[in-house]
Amino acid sequence: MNSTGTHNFDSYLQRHGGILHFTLDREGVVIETNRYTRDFLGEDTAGRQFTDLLVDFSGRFSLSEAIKDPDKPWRLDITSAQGWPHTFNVHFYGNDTSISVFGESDQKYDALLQENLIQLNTEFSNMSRDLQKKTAELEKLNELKNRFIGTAAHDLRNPIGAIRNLAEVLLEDISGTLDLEHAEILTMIGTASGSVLTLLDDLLTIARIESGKLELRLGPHDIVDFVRDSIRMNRIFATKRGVVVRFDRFEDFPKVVFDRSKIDQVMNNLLSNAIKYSPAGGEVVVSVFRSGDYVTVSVQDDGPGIPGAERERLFKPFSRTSNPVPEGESSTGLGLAIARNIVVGHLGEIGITNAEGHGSVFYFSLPLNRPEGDTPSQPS
Amino acid sequence: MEKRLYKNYIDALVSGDRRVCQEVVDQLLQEDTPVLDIYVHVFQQSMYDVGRMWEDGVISVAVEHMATAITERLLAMVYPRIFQADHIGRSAVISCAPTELHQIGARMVADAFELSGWDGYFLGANTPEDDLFSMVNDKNPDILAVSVSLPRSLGVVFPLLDRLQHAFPRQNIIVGGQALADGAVRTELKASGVRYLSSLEELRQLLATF
Repeated sequence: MNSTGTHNFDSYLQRHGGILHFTLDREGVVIETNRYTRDFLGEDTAGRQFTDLLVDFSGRFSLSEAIKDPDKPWRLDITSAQGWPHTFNVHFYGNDTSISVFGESDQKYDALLQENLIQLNTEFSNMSRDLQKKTAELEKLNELKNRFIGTAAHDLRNPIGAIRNLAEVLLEDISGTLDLEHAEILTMIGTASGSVLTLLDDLLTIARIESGKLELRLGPHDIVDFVRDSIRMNRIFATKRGVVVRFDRFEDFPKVVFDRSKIDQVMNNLLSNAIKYSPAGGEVVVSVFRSGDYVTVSVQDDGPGIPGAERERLFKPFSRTSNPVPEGESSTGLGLAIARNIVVGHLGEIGITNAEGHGSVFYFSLPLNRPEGDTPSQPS
Repeated sequence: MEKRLYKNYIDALVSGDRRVCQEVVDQLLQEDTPVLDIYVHVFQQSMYDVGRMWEDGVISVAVEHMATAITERLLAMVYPRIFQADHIGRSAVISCAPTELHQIGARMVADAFELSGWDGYFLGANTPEDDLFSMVNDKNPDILAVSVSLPRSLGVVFPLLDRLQHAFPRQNIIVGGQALADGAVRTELKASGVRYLSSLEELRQLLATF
């Protein structure tokens, strides 16, 4: 190429060429770049170290090595303005005052990359479609299940309630005429039907919550009075099992907005579980305290404690701990799942931690500054 | 659909600006635009326009691939609405022709089935013939839909349709896609007893009376 040709080629490279072109000083600082390089990097890199533009985790690149052999291409990764590394085959030409750098896009790998990305995107999109279709189907099936459970539980509730009431009536009316065995059978009918009624009530509640029908009647309440009432209600059960319930500590709080009957259900669940799993002579300690913008109620029992791996799943329907249910007690496996949904519906949090020594601490938190007319959040 | 909005969308699509495309689709969803309208007037129209731009040399094949990839991701934004439809107990298997790598049209057809309450089993691009036959055998669909985008796939489609009709003589088969837009091809199809549908709207009308 004659000198005019060389000049034209150089001019073309500077203005239109589809290859990177840097001029560096002998220290490797960028002095000049062509239009393509500026478009690719999104900024004028003059004044920056050339090596700072590279993605070179191994640190294998050395400018002094590179200029020793201009015919040797270096495969270097340079990050574009969009943040994507691109591979270039780069040649270095050094003289006494400067270094010329020419980088040609590694088209073979770029094409391969493009094909693979397109293929992956397509596969990902198809998987995403399948997933969304299956999710929608599962949601519909879940809704169907909830409706089925709701209807079945509702329709079973009346006859089972009648059986329990009639058993109680019979026991009261003719207890004097019954022998011990028949009286015991009637008592068993009453107890068993009572358990089934509890299960049906829990199933109805869960089905309602899962269908997004958790209705909260929010109002401002004194949380300390509320907890004190709950303890009072559970004291008979505690005395029966030989367990002491102590209201350990509390501070003054502004009124807290919550649905009294729903949170009462949560409180009763935590308290009755704590009493149920504490040994005779044991102690259950209830505390109310502030934690940031929340008020937290904790219930510490004297029981065997919950193994770490079981804690998370304990709040899922029909899950139980590996601890045996104490004699004479029953559990539907739904209480904590219901409690979790109610607390989450209040924008609160429910959980469990280990007590020091032995036992467990169940707690729930409610927001302190929730407006009264706020909409309940539907648990996931 | 507003012309200015569509221009924003197509300009963003061929410049790789996925965010603007998402905003346009999001706006249409917020405005409760019927899903089929978004499919026909945004996704389908833009894919046709991108195809034309590629044929005319206005954009490179890389840009066409990028626009397709963006569109595939945007379809997912509409899925929560599509899969909400109550199912009516009918099903369709939707497949691309063997060797056909352009799947987006077939996917939109599968989604249009879902919108009409059908189960749309979508087999994706370049479906091996054995997979297609086994899917039709397993699902016993009310309709089998085959999509052909590129004319070069026509060579394998006609023999495939013959074999399908032979193996499943009572099977309703429909075909569609840009490769079939040519009148002579459609005449050949008519003779084979396979129904050609030219648009998603035609498919909607067919499903409404099926």
